[in-house]
Amino acid sequence: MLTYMLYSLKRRKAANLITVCISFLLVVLLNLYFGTMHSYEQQLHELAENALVYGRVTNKNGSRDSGLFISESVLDGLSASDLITDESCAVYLLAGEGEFTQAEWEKCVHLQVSGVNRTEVVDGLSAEKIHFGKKYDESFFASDSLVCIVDESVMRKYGWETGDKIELTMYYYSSASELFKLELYPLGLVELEIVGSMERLAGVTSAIPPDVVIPFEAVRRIYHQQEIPFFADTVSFYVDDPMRLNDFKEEMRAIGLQERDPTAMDSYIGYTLAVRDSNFVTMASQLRQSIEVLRSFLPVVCILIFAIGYIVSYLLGNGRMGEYALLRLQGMGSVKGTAPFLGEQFILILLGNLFGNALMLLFADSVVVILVNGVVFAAYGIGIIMAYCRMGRKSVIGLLTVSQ
Amino acid sequence: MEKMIEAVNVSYIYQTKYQKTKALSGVSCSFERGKVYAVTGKSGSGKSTFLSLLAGLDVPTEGTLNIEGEDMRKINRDTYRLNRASVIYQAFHLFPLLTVLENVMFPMQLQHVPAKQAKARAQEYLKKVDLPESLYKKMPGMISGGEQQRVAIARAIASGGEILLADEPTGNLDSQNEKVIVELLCKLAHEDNYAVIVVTHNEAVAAAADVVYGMSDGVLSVVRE
Amino acid sequence: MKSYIKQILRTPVQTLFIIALVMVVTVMLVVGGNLWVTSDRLSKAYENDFITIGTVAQKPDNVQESRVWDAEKEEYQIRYEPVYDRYVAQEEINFPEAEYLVEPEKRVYWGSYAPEYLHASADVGYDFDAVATIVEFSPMESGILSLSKRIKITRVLGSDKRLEGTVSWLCDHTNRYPVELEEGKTYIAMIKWSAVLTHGKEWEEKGYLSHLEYNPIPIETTLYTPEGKRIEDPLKMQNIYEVTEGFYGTEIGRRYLEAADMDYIIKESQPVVGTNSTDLLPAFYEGTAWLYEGRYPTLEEYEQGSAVCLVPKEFADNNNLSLGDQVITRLYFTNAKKTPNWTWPRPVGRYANFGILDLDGNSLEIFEEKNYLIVGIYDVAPLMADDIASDELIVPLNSIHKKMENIVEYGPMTDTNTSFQIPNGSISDFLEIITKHNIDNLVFTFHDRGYSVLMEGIRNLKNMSAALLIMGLIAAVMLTLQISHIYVTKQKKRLAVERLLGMTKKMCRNVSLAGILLLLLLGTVSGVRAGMEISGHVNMEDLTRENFDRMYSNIGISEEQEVGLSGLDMGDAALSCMMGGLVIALGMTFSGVKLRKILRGEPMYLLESGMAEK
Repeated sequence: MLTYMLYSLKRRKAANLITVCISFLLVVLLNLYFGTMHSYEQQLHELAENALVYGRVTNKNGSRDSGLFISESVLDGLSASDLITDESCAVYLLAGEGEFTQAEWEKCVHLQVSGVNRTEVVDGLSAEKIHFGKKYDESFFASDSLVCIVDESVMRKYGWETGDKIELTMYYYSSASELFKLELYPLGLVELEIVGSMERLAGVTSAIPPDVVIPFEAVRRIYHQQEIPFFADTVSFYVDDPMRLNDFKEEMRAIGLQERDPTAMDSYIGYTLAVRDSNFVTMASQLRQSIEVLRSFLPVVCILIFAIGYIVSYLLGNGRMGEYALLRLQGMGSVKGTAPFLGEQFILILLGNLFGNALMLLFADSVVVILVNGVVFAAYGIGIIMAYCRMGRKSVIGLLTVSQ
Repeated sequence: MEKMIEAVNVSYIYQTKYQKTKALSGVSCSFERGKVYAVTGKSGSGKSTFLSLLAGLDVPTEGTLNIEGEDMRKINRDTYRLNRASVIYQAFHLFPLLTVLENVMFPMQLQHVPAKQAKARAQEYLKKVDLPESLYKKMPGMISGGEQQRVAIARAIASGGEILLADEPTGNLDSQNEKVIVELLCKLAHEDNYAVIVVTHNEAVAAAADVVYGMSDGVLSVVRE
Repeated sequence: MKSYIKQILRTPVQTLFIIALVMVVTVMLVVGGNLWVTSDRLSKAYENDFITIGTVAQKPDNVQESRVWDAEKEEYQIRYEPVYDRYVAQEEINFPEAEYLVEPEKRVYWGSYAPEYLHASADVGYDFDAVATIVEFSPMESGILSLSKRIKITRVLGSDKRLEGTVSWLCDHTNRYPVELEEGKTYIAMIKWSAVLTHGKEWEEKGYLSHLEYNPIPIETTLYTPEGKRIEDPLKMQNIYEVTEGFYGTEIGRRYLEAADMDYIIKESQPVVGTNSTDLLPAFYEGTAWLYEGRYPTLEEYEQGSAVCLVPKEFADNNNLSLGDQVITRLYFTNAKKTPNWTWPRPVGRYANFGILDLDGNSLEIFEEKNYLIVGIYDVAPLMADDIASDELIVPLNSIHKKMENIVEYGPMTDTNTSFQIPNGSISDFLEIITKHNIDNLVFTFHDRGYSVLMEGIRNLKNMSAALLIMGLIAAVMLTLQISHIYVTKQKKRLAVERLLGMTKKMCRNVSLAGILLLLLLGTVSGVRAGMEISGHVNMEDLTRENFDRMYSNIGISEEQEVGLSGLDMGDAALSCMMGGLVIALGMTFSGVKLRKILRGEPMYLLESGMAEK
């Protein structure tokens, strides 16, 4: 049987070449198809992991992204969202040392106070520039304790040291309306423990550097204690999974954040969101649509593979009925008689597959190549089996008649 | 009797890609109507090649082959085979995908005989070869060898020619069918005035012939006249 | 031939499979070809229909705290104003490596004095009292203007006379040290309508009804250098002056008269906007303003600064102007901060919240005068196109020679005054350039109406169609070779018998080719039909559907254009037939060549080889 198969492989060069070529082409083309789709999917996955989609709360016309009044409901909504990460919040206050009346505020309020939840929120500040005392480290920013870090020069001026407890009368900004007016209101006298110092930031950046930095949540706590509505000045964050951008934006809508309107009047109210997602959206959209286009052709491709496999095998097999009839005449059973033909065809497909795989491994992902190999082998193989088994079901006389 | 075919010093060389073979060497003979001629010889003696030349399937390398005085080289050999000479073979060579009747009608269609007329004539010819009507619509693969050969003969005479060439016509048949075919060929020659030339190595077939030529290594000789 | 056709039809399964394969191959070629042509056509159409605009806004470098007195609260209010260390010039964003179709322009607008025309701004349009006007008034009670005081407006020097003879409320609200007024005396001030309600102890005691008060404002020049530096007014004016005899002969009095004149001038003025492309104007780009009649200035006219213009429909109707008429412009101030709708809001009204006098207290001089030919009339959507002013003329930027004279306001780049055009599909390249230049004080926003999304879908379509075409072509070649093998090579015996029976070579060839042609025709005709159906079913809407929500995004999608995306046509018939023809041509060619080769030899050899094959 093996001899017969090898003889046939040697003898029927043209027909065998056709089979090998068809198999090779199918492998190459399907590799291109699936390989392209796989590559797009991988790119999309990598893009999602590496793309930084940044969001920031602004005023309605987008001209301000700090010094705003961002309501607590917005803050809570953002904090509760598991679709954002690295949320950065800040609230800016004024303060003066000790207790004094409102009438004296102009003379006494000299300190810029920032309530922040991360080092990076303070322009120019980094972990290296903060010198914590024994008890605290960067977890300071996440705490809600009444603690603070102070500018070194301010500490010198006031004669403060790390570990000292200081009393500050704080003032906060409030807005009478959406328009330009801002008013200062007392937040009350607060006792804070100095848990560290920070290097002088004045002149490092063009922003007004804070003299005192308090944990954001601590400031919020103070407001709540005083039963004053809390507002943040700035909020920004990164979207955790850019692929869930639509879910994220749906959540932001639910929180009540609106879209920027460049023609709106200037204001301090922060209820608008600006998301820097153009790069990601452009590239991810392109990739997604490429994948969808390819997928839309999948039914055609599948039909094609099967059709080619079955029909070509049928036609080639048809021409060998006489040959098969002779084998049966020699006494071979239907299964043993069909086996050399099947074996021969499978060797040819395998050969075509191997050539195709060898070429495609230079360009395509090995997983895809193996997958395509299997698909072509299976589809073509099914076709061959169906075609030649059809032959096996006929009687010998019938085969001889047809072949003649 | 008028000589239908005359071979004068005919030689033929087979040319393949790699070699030349002299199949016939200086063959001279003639064939007349109304007679059955047998050309006998062993396998490979050149008798089938000679028959092919008589059928106009090629022209001699040397010598001349005259058909009613005309040199074969000068006549249209396709028209010759269509209208004047027909060949039957051991393997019958019927169209497997045409019915018995359609096979016999085929040459008449080539002669542009109207379909109705062709069908009627085909039925006549099939009757002549004693083929039952029940087989007219069968495919050649469905009938016996003897029946197939009779169909081949009917197709051969359907073109209305005068020369019937047969290459081992009984080679695939049993003795009974063989007898039938031989009788048919003789009938065509003696009753219908065909020049029937049969290539055979069968003694019984040769015995029925009027003239027997022997072919040996491409050389023809008269065995019995 | 009938005989041969009969023989073909007597192997129905094989025949059907061959036809099916021919159909499949034809479908691939037809779909590939149609999709290629369609995607090519669409991409060309989109190139023309879509434009990509970028806008630029400069972020403030800092905030500045200022304290403004509030007379009602009797304390200073804190304001934070954005501060710009310097204004980024448009040349700085003209990156050499960027491919601009229209280079960045930071637009200004000019005021044009044209009393011969009827202006929409002539009608103030609102029921409430004038926004700002110069009046002579007499206090109805003496007192310091630290709270709202009743005044009788005895004379309006400005153009809006409605306040003349009325009683209004005045308070020097933002002045820490307001003047004391005496009942019965005559004073002069430019009074501006304020959003503050009347207030004061006396007010509360007397139970007056609430009213919006007027505040006096000084008449000051607000001139800037072309670099954006404010030129200080040498004359420091108060908010209110007493009108005594000979007052109007003084420098102060003269100023008031000049300022009042300017009010009339503003009433008879209209804005002129210069640009290098109408598409750069937000309203036109967004489709809230459009060409009603005529044409846009051509590229050459923009480049050469031709004296052509677009006028609004209302202005043309009000002044019986039409295409081909001339419009005169007399430019006398430049505003390098805001869009003209702030001064001439639509549909009616005017409010110049900037100084309109020069440093000598005189009216601003006309610095450029020109006649423009009307080549187009545009219209705007009501309640939209906020950045388009009433009576706004649009001219080629290069037609204005003195672009930065009498600058009355100066501001940074904003989304509405700074824009540029880049080639479609180049947003990501441009973003890379911005990243490379490490710009963090400018915000770039792009508007492409969805071009990038659409074009990528088309590009994918094109790639897919190319793959189908190649695949189809290869399959067609292989299939037609296979057909010639089945219907020619394997038919040697039949051909031999036919030759034997007297058929000529030509007859044998023609009969065989006719049979093959029939098969090919059946396969290609059905393939062409099926292919055209499939081509039509590729849904462009699916391909161009937005995957991501664009809300909040820094890429703006303006109105998306409808370019017939609801579904492709059913494929181009001529192209489809051509593809079918290609398959037929291949089949006939291969079979014809094979037949010729086989029939070339003598029938004897054909017979022998045919018998040998059997």
